[in-house]
Amino acid sequence: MPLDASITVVYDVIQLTRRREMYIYLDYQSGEPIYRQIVEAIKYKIACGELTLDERLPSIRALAEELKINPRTVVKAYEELKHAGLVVMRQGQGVFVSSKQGITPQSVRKKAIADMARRMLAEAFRLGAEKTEVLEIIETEANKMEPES
Amino acid sequence: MNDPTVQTTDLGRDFGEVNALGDLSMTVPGGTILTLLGPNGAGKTTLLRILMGLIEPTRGEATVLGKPARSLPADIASQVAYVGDRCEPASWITPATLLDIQTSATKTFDEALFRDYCKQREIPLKRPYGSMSKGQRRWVLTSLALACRPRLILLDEPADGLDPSARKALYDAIRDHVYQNDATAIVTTHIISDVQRVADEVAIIDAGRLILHAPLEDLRESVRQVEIVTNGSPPDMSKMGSLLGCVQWGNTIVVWVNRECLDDDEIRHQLGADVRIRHVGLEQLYLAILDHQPALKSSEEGETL
Repeated sequence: MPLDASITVVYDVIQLTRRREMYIYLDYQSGEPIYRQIVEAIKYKIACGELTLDERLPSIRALAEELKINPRTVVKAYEELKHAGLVVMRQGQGVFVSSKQGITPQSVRKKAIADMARRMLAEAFRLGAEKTEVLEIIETEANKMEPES
Repeated sequence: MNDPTVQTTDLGRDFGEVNALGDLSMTVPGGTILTLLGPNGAGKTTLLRILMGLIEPTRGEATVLGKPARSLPADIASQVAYVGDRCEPASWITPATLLDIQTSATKTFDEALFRDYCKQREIPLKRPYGSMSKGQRRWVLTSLALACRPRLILLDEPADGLDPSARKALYDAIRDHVYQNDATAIVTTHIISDVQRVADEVAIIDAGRLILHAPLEDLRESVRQVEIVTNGSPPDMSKMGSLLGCVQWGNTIVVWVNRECLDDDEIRHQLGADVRIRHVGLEQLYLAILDHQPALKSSEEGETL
């Protein structure tokens, strides 16, 4: 008998009980500041196009209540995003993804990947690797992953 | 920012020969959830009881909402709520009775809010306290205190023995109260995962002494575990910030440091050795501080924490 025949509960349709503000996964055990996790999550959403330019972000109060965190933590995250030029605060209207020149999903993505690369390189150099060796490995691994056309 | 809700200065309390609390100075601002961590018998409950005016300090001073805790005027005392870990009503008491008592006792008591809380966890108002589960009991007592809309709420191990879902519901209610009303909560607990979830500030108390008190976000930002592989003597860490703990395993020295103004690259550069720098969760930090405190130097430049 096929294994999945033993699964008795089947959900045909996932019913959403309540529409949430914005999904952000927070890892409380990680030791990474919560405000920074929010900043990174929003950057990621901009980079992958989940948040579009000029889109309105949840209000400070709404996001704090949703994530069950101190409103000051949300303020700090939004301030940081503003400082990085990724969002703009419009008086009386709220916080919006910036549509300023130079801020594009591509540029945010580039920066996010550069951060990942820096962390990876630091580890690799710590293991005593040379730059050319690391680049070679990246090339090989990327070729392996390349989607078949 | 906000006026301090609680302030203590050189606060101490002896029980006979036992020094339960010594020279504790701390300030807790409004709009904050402070968690007190520490081993059993560290002095956490003693501190809460002093703040409630239930016992008097032997030394020093504690003020609550701007007034001395030892003689709180009635109008201030009514804005402070306390749920001890051993306060239990008689077994025949029902939430409905508690509601009646509290309505006549506390002006600010929000009857509808208390009904809401009971409904939220499906606790009938007519159920006797004696027939409730542990989770329901803690819920009823905590929500009774929250429904008084206190500016300061003191909770002694509110989630002790509760399942994860009940603990989350309890802490969510506390957080909503604090953030919506700009109130303050001081909570003792042993469950570090709960602290990581709810605390704005963390205070670690050991043997009656305050070892660390800081905003949790600041600790996440600035505390690092630095692993140094060395065959020689340990490197000079004094310029890195304050040392919270250190221990040696084989040829690896592990140091927990509050790096303050340095960033990770600068630390790596200054040590110039084979180092690995990690973020530290509160649980590791707590264990590091309690188990691997740096030995106090005899010189005056010794580590002061």
